[in-house]
Formats: sequence, C-alpha cells, structure tokens
Amino acid sequence: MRAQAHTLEAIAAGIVVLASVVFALQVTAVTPLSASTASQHIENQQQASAAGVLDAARENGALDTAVRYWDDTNGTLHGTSGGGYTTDTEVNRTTLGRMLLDTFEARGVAFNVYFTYTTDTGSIVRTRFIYRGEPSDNAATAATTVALYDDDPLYAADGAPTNTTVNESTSYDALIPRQSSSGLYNVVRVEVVVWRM
Amino acid sequence: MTGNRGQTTIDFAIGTSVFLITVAFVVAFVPGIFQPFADGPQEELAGVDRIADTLVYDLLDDGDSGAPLDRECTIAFFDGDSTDTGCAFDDGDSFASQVGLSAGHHANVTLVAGDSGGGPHPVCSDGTRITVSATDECTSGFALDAGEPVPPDGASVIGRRVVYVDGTTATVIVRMW
Repeated sequence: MRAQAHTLEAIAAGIVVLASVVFALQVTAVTPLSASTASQHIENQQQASAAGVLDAARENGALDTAVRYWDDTNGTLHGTSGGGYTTDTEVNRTTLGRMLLDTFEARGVAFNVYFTYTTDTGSIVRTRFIYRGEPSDNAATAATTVALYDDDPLYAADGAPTNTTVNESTSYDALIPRQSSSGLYNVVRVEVVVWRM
Repeated sequence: MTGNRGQTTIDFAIGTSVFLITVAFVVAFVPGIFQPFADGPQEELAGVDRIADTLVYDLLDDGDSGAPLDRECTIAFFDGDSTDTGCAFDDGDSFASQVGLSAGHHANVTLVAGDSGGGPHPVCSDGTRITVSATDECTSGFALDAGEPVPPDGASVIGRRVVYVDGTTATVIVRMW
C-alpha cells in the first residue's frame, strides 16, 4: 500500500501542475487572434490612412460636395432610393467615394461613411452615406467635421453647384436638418470606418 | 522488512518520472505561449509610425494641419540633389539624418497612387509638377522615393499615410527593416 502511494502522489502532483497551466491559459485567453502590437499596428495604419483621405477630401472640396450631394426633387442622395451608396458604381459617383475606393479597395480594406449631426433637441443622429457592410470587431474610425451655412448650395448629380441652398431646399432636412438659426445651418461629423475584409 | 512493503523502489521511480516529465513539459511549453508577443518587430513598429508622421506632418507639411503636402518641399525631398529650398529639412543631409534614423536601421519611403482597378502606380515628378505614372515605371522625370532600396527577401514593417499633393491623392508607404 505504501508503494502505490508514491505513484499516486506523483500523478496527483502532475495533475495539479497541468491544471495550473490550463487555468492560466483560460483566464488570460491568449490565442493567435488576441490583440498584439502587430494587429494594433494594422489598425493604426488604417486609421491614419482614413484620416489622410479625409484631410485630402477637405483640401480638394470632395468633403463639401459629398455632404451636399443631394437630389432636392426626389429627396434622396443623387442616384439612390435612400440608405446611402452601396455598390462600386454608386460609390464612384462622388469624389470622396472614388478617393476611398482608390485608396482602400486594392488593399482589401472595406469602408463605411456616416454623417452624424445634432438635432434641435440635442440628440445625435447618424445616417449612412456609404454603406458597404457591417464593420468587423477590428475596425478603425477617423472623423472630421464640416460646417454647413444657410447659403451653401446643394450639388447637382454632375458635381456642379445648383442654385438651391441648403436652407431653401425642401427635402434636405431628410439628410441633415437645420439645427441653428444664426446663419449656421448645422455641423456635420463625417465619419469613415475602415476594416480588413 | 518483507511482505508489506511491496516494490517500493520501482513505484517510487515511476512516480518520480511521471512528475518530472510533467514539470519538464510545462517548463518547455509556457515560454512558447508568449513568444508571438515577445519576439515581434517592436522597434520597427514604433519607428515606422514615427518616420511616417515626421514626413507627412512635419518635414513636408504645407503649413496647414493635416495631410496636404507642400509641392516644392516634396519635390526637393525626393529629387536627390542638395539644393536647399527653405523647407523644414536640410536637403544636403542624408535620408537617415533627415528622418532621424539611427545606425543599424534601414528605411525606404515611396509614394504610390492609383485607381482601385489598376493597382498602385509610382508617383513621378519632372521637377515642377507631380503626376501619377500610367505604368509601373516613371517614363520621364524621377520617381518619388527615398532611402535605401528594399531588399528582395526578408521581412519589413510597413506604415501608410494618405496625402494630398499637387492635386493628387497619394499613399506614402514607409518600409522599415
């Protein structure tokens, strides 16, 4: 009896050691998909790229055009039936969409663009401008703000300014409603979400 | 001494072996769990971001905040001569000292642009304007790249920034190894 006790004791000790390792693995959840400096690096690069596209779009006017690319007659964005642009052809309609496609498409990175604004009552509303799908858990976001003034013109489908201003428009409320009465129409936050497909 | 002790020595040997094998396995296994996190290219990951930000937001910046670059400074940075143009860097310095690269580190900076279908093409300059090449080579002028040529094999860390220069939206690719 004493003899077998040595063996059993050793096995019991081995089980305790193994159990500690298993426990340590379970509580820390270290897997190949865990966040590491490498995956963080990819997100940083995507975030920096998206911020760069927004800066470039502000510089060449694509941002203003995108926010006011509105079909006043039909009450939608030009060429959609509502809900934002989804296909490549639709996204290519605006310069902002084209810049994003040129930058991200070849790298296998998908993107959504949202407009966020504040309403009269102070609540924050987010509408879709370009919607290419549900972002993954590792998506990165870049945002910038655009001020809309009452006398800013809406843009026609070909990208030329029309004679209708945002304040005179009968349907622009549906995209971005008027929030301030002091000549400033509203402030729009343009948000780009990018993620690896 | 006889009868009730059985094979004490053999049982003890088996027990000790089982225990030692378990301990040896754990000692060999645990460091492997942390290897992907300890061994990564930590220096390059931090360095590549710093070089990209130094270039885009500091050396070549056009004075406003953000990604638009100064056309003349961008051309002066990549043209390979040493004529100082009053930009934020000393054109006579080597690439390594312009971006603050210490010895033993290697980096390359390249500007590319292109549409989603055609893939990236090099961005070229004739010394006055900046254009996107229609092919994989610059037919005239010089390509906007600086630093050491990228080695054909071995791993490198890549950083990207999107910039706007002379009417062109381009991607700055920084490689470090």
